[in-house]
Amino acid sequence: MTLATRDELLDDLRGIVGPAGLLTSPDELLVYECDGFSVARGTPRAVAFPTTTEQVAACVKTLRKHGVGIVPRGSGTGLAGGCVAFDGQVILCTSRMTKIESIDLADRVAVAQAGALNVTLSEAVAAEVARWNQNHAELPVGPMHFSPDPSSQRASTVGGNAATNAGGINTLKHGVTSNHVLGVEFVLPDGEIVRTRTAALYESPGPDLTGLLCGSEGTLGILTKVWCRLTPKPEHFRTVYTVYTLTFDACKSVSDVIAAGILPTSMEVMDGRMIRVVEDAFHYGFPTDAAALLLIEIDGVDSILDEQLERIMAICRANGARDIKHCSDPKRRTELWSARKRAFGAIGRLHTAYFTQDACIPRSRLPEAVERIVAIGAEHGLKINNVFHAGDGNVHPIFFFDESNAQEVQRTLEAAERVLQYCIDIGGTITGEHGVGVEKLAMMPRMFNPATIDTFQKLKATFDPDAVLNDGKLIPSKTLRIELHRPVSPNVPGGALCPPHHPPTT
Amino acid sequence: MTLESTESSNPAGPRVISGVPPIDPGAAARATLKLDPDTFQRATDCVHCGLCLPACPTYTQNGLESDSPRGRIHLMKGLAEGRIGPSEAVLGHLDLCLDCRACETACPSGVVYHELIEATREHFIAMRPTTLTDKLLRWVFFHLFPHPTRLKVALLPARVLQKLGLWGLATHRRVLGVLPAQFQKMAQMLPPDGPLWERRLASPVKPTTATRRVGLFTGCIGSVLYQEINRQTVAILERLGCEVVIPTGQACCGAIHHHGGDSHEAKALARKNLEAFLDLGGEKPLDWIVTNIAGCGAMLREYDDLLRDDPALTAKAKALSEKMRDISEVLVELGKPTDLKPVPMTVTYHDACHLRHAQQVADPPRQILSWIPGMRVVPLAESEICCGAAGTYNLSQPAMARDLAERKLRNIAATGARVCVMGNVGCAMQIDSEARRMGMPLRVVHPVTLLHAAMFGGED
Ligand SMILES: Cc1cc2nc3c(=O)[nH]c(=O)nc-3n(C[C@H](O)[C@H](O)[C@H](O)COP(=O)(O)OP(=O)(O)OC[C@H]3O[C@@H](n4cnc5c(N)ncnc54)[C@H](O)[C@@H]3O)c2cc1C
Ligand code: SF4
Ligand code: SF4
Repeated sequence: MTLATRDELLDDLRGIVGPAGLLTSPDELLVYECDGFSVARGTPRAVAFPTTTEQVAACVKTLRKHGVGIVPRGSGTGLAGGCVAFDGQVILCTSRMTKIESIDLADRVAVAQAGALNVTLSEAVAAEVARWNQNHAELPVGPMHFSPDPSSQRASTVGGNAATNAGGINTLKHGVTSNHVLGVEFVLPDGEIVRTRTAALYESPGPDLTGLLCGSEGTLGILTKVWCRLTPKPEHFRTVYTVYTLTFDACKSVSDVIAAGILPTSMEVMDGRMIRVVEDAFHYGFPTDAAALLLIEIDGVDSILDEQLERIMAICRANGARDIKHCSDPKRRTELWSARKRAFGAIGRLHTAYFTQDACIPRSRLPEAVERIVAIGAEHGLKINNVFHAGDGNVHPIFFFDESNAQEVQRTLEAAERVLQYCIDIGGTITGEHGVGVEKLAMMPRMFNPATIDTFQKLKATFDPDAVLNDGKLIPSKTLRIELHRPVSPNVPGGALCPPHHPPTT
Repeated sequence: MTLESTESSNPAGPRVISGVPPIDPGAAARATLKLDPDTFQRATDCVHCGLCLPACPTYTQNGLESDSPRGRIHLMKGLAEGRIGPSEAVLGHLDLCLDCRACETACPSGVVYHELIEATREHFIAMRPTTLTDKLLRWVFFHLFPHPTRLKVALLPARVLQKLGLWGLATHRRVLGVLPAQFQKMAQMLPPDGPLWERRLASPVKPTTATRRVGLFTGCIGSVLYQEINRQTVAILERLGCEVVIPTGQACCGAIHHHGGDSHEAKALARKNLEAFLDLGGEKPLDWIVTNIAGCGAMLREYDDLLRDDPALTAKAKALSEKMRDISEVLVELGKPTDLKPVPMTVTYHDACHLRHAQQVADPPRQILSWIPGMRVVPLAESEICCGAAGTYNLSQPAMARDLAERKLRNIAATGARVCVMGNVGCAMQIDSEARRMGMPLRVVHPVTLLHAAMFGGED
């Protein structure tokens, strides 16, 4: 591509989003080189900030005309490099598409532009409920919310949540994002606008396009609007907090609770190393000598909760829990969950680089699997922390590494790959909620047989025959492969960013 | 172990590119930003999670990652590593930062952002071209604001015009229009009423029963424009059994210099204040040092960091930091006063950045308001988002400052309250002047003033 056509491209884009809606200077573009997974890096040719669906469509048409690849991006909190542009692609970022267009409490649906933040939506719903109750004292409604609650919910967008089919702490009982998306509007790679929701009714006829777009990681269309299901916000909780001497016992308790026919809102495990990290950072008063901490929460009708609580505590006790506490005090409860939600961030206080795996395994295999994963880490000379959505069988082993140490980066990638292979072997999957992006792309052919991969590719080609939309992500592409496993030179890994005058301190 | 995609052996297969770009070994030598290792560590502490994005006033205003905390850290890291140069665009993004520190409150990894941006600013300030307006502004910031007497002299003509009822005419758009925008803004920020010559506060006569000795830091702009709040602070503390000491040797806290990249002068002022508040010549040492100005409090609390290169002074600076309190913290510690009179009023509370984020004081002012009988406090949406004052930011970045002020005023308007409470002079001037500009009826008041009314009467 010549320079002249490139400038023409930028002029055309500027014509659509205005001069303030386009970043093109290479210096500024540096900030778009990665998402929350800082290993994979690529600099976009430009980043455009459309504000409406029509602008998105016009940008797509223009980029098509110039033969330039497109990458959708929300807040860039993704953990798989999904919103990173490689190979001169242009990013379309939804950070200026933050309008919440309507909130309908009677039909329990809110319509938000794709760039609206998850928490902003729930806050707007809460405000609307308050307004309604002020004006309709005779017919008050209870609290409602948009249920998906990834730990990144303050920062991530509803479009990003839908595109990655985000899960969260209450996924176990209340489901993942796709369970709460009633319809979507998206722009196809040819610039046409598709809407899967036409009226107030929940179900629409025809194949489930909405379901297809959820979890498609920006490879099939660019989400511009999401119809979000509003559900009653649970008001009564019991939270159980148990401490174990063995991680095995904590995991065993988790599968026993499910086996007993109880469906908690969430069951979360933090291993001993993780407890110490969180405790050091925030001082919640957790025992730093424990091997595992299990947080279980149940919600529902107040009168039945105490009985369930008793049964759960009995199971934990039977599995050798060292210390069992429960609370219904909202303040302590908020504290406990904020400890869980801030766990990832707390790691940053100790290590400059880490990366999180996200595999799902059958819940019944959790106890042995967690031990095996730690052992794999040790075989590669790595320390692994674990904090995970145990109730979903969704493990998040966290690998620490030194960005400036080529061997260590390589060993980390290898260990991560072995962990994933192990999870596949015991009947699991390679991602629970963070998505595939570029990070796990190489594992897709391990997970699925050739016929399945081929079907994915055909589906992709139906939406995007010229492979212009987020090419090289999620589905192995016939046109572009983004390689993470190849250090550029034997002792300088890519992603290593430690200049000589700043020797690393860790 | 190598991974093979389905088609890697096919010559017509996908183009393979590396998603882990090489580092340029020559980059470090080209780096334009030199940071000491401690400060650089601040940048590497960031794990790029993005949880700070929604807390940032500028990012939530314009949606640019380059105007977000994570983005700015990435830019500064890039500058320090020589991956990018200090282009106008890059410096523009760094300049647009309010240094409000909301990102520090939001960051779970404990990134100490302000040290990084302040060190970077100081580094680049020297190499920036300056216009005449810039020079004038710097003179005003560094040589007028920090000196109460000079400031009073400078304000005298304006105060005379106010007394004569001619200020409205003088500040008319057409008249002010001849001045650079920043000076127009300054004129507009002057509270519309005030004494011709504000008197300096002296230490009151000691009550004999005093149980605590409290030093009062009066501030420079505060002591000229908002001296009434200092008087009320003294009255309240005395009623609550404290002996109030107002050392005459105290100087400007140095925040303006420090944030403006002149740490040399900031350190000199810090030394003066250490002396004024700690070397009391044989008198009993102070239990607390209080201020009702969040911006000054934040600076005074960080003297130990400011003076960290001066081992002789760090211990002293630590001692001062430990005694330093916002007035609201001291009031909460002293406990709810008895016999409070009702102050029937609907108010909302704005979190000054230097209180909420720099000093992590969120509850005490709210608690004080909750003591006052008859007062209804309506929560303010986005109360923790900066109002755009940010020290002298409203003068140096008027466009963003105005956008943020309008956002703040929209949120205040939505509460239905006509009174907005806040614990900082800068915010008060900004919100008050912008409300006047927009013709919005709003009273801006310090929590001390409301508590004073509840204790001594005077509000109806
Ligand atoms: C600290 C931390 C905690 C996290 N916790 C969780 C968790 O508990 N559960 C969980 O599921 N995830 C979690 N994540 C991952 C991440 O936050 C989610 O994947 C989130 O949904 C991404 O949203 P985003 O707006 O940041 O999207 P981005 O990161 O910008 O993009 C993610 C993917 O979605 C695509 N995309 C974004 N917007 C659109 C659009 N409008 N149309 C089409 N495609 C789009 C991108 O191309 C990319 O492939 C966490 C991340 C962090 C940093
Ligand atoms: S929240 Fe902290 S660690 Fe995360 S991106 Fe922001 S500054 Fe970095
Ligand atoms: S200090 Fe304030 S303006 Fe600057 S990056 Fe942090 S939150 Fe944004």
